[in-house]
Amino acid sequence: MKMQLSLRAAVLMLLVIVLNCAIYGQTPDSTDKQTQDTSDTVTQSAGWGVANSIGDASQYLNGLTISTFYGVRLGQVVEVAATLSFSDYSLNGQELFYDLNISSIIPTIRKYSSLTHSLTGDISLILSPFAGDDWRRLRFHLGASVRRAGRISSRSTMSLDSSRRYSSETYTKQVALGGHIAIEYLLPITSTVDIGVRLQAHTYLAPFWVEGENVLLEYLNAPGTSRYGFFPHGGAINLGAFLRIGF
Amino acid sequence: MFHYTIKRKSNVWGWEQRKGVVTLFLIAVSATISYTLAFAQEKSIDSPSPAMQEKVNFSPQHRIGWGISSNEGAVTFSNDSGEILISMLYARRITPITELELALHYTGIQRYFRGLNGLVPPTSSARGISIAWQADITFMMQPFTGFFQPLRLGLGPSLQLWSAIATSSPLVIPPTTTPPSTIPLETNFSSIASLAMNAKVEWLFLQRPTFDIGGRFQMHVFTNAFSGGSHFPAVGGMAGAGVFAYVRF
Repeated sequence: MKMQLSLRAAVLMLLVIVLNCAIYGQTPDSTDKQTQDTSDTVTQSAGWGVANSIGDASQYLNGLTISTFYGVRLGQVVEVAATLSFSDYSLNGQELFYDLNISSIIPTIRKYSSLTHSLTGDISLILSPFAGDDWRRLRFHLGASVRRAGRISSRSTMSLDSSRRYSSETYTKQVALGGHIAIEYLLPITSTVDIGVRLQAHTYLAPFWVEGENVLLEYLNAPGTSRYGFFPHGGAINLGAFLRIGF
Repeated sequence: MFHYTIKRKSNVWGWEQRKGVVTLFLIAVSATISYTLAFAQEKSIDSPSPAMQEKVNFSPQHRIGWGISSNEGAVTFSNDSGEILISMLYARRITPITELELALHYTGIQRYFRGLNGLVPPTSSARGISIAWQADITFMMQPFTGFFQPLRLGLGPSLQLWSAIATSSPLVIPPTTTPPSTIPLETNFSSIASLAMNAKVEWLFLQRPTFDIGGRFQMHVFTNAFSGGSHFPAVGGMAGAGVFAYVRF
């Protein structure tokens, strides 16, 4: 009887404490729980990224792309994001070579300059189909893209005795539609801040608006560069990192 | 020991008395916990500690935003009708009325000029691309109250990276006689880095707890390039106005 009374008192005390805590929600444990659950209540996100890009805008050499994005979560596994990406690429230099003629060897200077810019807008559907704390951070992108890009490249050769001179220029400005896919992994820093690593590929259709010459963006009459890449009408592959803030 | 103590006390008090004491104890514990928690909650609202007060006053402390402006200046060849500048920024609140803002601005233009307003001779044409990145750190203040409360002012240093290419040639291309062709063509290429100062004036015409929309005028004044070379005037400025949207968290 005495034991029953003690046990009953202890249980009653615990019940009272639990009820009080439930009503006022002031225990450290519940606070921690709320903090941990913040990531599940995040519905919007924004961030910035930087990536190494290989594509037609950089003549399939290494270029730099900077991007910013805004995303809205539509469900547990689906998110929609809008992204703007900026990149530019330039080449400028000169070289001396010897033009072999029938009667003489003529020293000749070749100068080349090129500047390419690209502004890409993406609308992405982001899926995180896997469950579990680690696997759900693996996400897949699929979406549509539009790109405004342009390039001026010029090349001139002139013999040192000024007997020969040749100049050429390519000017193009174009807008094209396309698509993109990406795979990314989010590394959590805090409950609302992540660092992500993303591998992404863009490919474009033939441009629907052109000013200047309707040529491939990768076409470059400068020495030492590839003239044709692996995308029929242009594209790029990016590997980079981004900072993502949820709110 | 516990049972022994109870047993000793039981010798003095009866079961009914002990039950009453336990009940009173439970009521007292419950009342104490309730009162303490309720008081703590009330205190956190009505009379917060300095740390809590600081958090309440300063929250939210972060701001991210994007903007689009129409700008004119050296990097737009100074002879056009305004070019789009895209901005992205992050700001951290320092005090209730001051913020430190980090911003990155991008301007990319491409133009075909044909004897345009003296930029090139009437018988010539020119093509140009200008790409400019400006990164700046701005000390933003919102010092006013009342009607001018939405007004924000900023000042800080900037860094600009500017690449440009321009080519020109006569409109009438002389017929080529012998290959290779001898089309006169002039190409100027520039890639420079320069330091600058920036000033910003902003009016937040929509303020909500988590987002703002404002109109901003901003300008950058550049010094001589410390890296690279330019065929174009490198000293100058760039100014414009546009709309900015912010999310605060």
